Amino acid sequence: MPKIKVPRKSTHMDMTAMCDVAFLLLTFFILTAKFRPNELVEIVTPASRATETVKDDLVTISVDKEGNAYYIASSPRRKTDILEKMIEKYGTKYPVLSTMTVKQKAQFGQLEQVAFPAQSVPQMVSIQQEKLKKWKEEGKLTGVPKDSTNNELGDWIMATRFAYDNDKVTFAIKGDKTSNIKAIQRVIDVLRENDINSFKLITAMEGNKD
Amino acid sequence: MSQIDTSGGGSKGKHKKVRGKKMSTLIDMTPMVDLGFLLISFFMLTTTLSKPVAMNLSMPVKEKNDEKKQDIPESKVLNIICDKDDKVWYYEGFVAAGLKMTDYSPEGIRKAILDKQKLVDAKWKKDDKGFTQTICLIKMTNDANYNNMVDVLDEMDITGTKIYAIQDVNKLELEAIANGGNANIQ
Repeated sequence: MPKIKVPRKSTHMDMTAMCDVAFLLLTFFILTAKFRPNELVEIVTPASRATETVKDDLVTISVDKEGNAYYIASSPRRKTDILEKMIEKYGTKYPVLSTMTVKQKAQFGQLEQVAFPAQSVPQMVSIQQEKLKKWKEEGKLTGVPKDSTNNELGDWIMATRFAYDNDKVTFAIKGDKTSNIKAIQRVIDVLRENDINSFKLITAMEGNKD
Repeated sequence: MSQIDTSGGGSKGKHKKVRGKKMSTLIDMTPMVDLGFLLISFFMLTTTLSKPVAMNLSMPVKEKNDEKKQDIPESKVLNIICDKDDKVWYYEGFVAAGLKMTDYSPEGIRKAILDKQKLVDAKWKKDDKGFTQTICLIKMTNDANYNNMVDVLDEMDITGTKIYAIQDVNKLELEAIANGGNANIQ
């Protein structure tokens, strides 16, 4: 009687398909991930239990350790609109703004943040982020003035509201853990003076401490 | 490698023609898959961890005059005052006396809020929606930092306190704090 020969099968699995899937996913995640923008001021936000994710169209006012405020609007088109409104509303207050060229206005749209008084906006628009960062480290940048005598932050906020017109605009405050409460309260006050009584505080997600 | 030879013996050398050994075109993909998934897990973990979240804060409309002030029962009120060096003081009612010092740990300020809630719930009952009627007045001295404010707002969420307001610290409270918690009333 002939012996039945069971054919020996290879234990080797074809990994090609699995490899394809792995790299497809990898490519997908890398492409969809949004990288953190190169921020001028490093702000370590406090952690909170909040769960609401941050939307893109926020207008953020950052407050750093020293208590300086920085005005950050997200989309370039909005930024140009805001600048136009700023010129329209406060052209007489800040005469240098009305002499800005079209190119400078376009450059303003690319600007990461307003970290200087309105007077120096025309010169600042063409300066590289890296250079600004160096100036910041040297203590040459002091943010947008927000005292009651020179409340430029309030003007920017007002211009923002005009630029968004009927669209809903959400303001957010992004403060550093260690920044003094006075600076934060001043920013809150400025917002309230401009009839913005509801806003967001940007915080980091808390680990499972509790 | 992990492959088992499947060539199955074959002809046992009838013709001794020397042939180049036929190499398999299969490449072992296992390490590449490993690498792929490793990178995926790395990217996924790092992206979710750095996601910022937003906390809502609503402040009352700024009134030029104080006429519209609402009367609130004194027994519902808990005052929380954030001080420097992560110290936090609290007292009940309107009279800044007998301030107690604590910290931001769960046994600290959270316990103080929950204790107050128990007292308020016993006296005033919970509201229609089942929330406590405790009113927390949050105040900050000039030396407090932003982290303290977020911490206290977080406690409001944890303890389920729906009614709270951020107010300015008043002179009597500052005096009491300087005095180690006791009121400085003559």
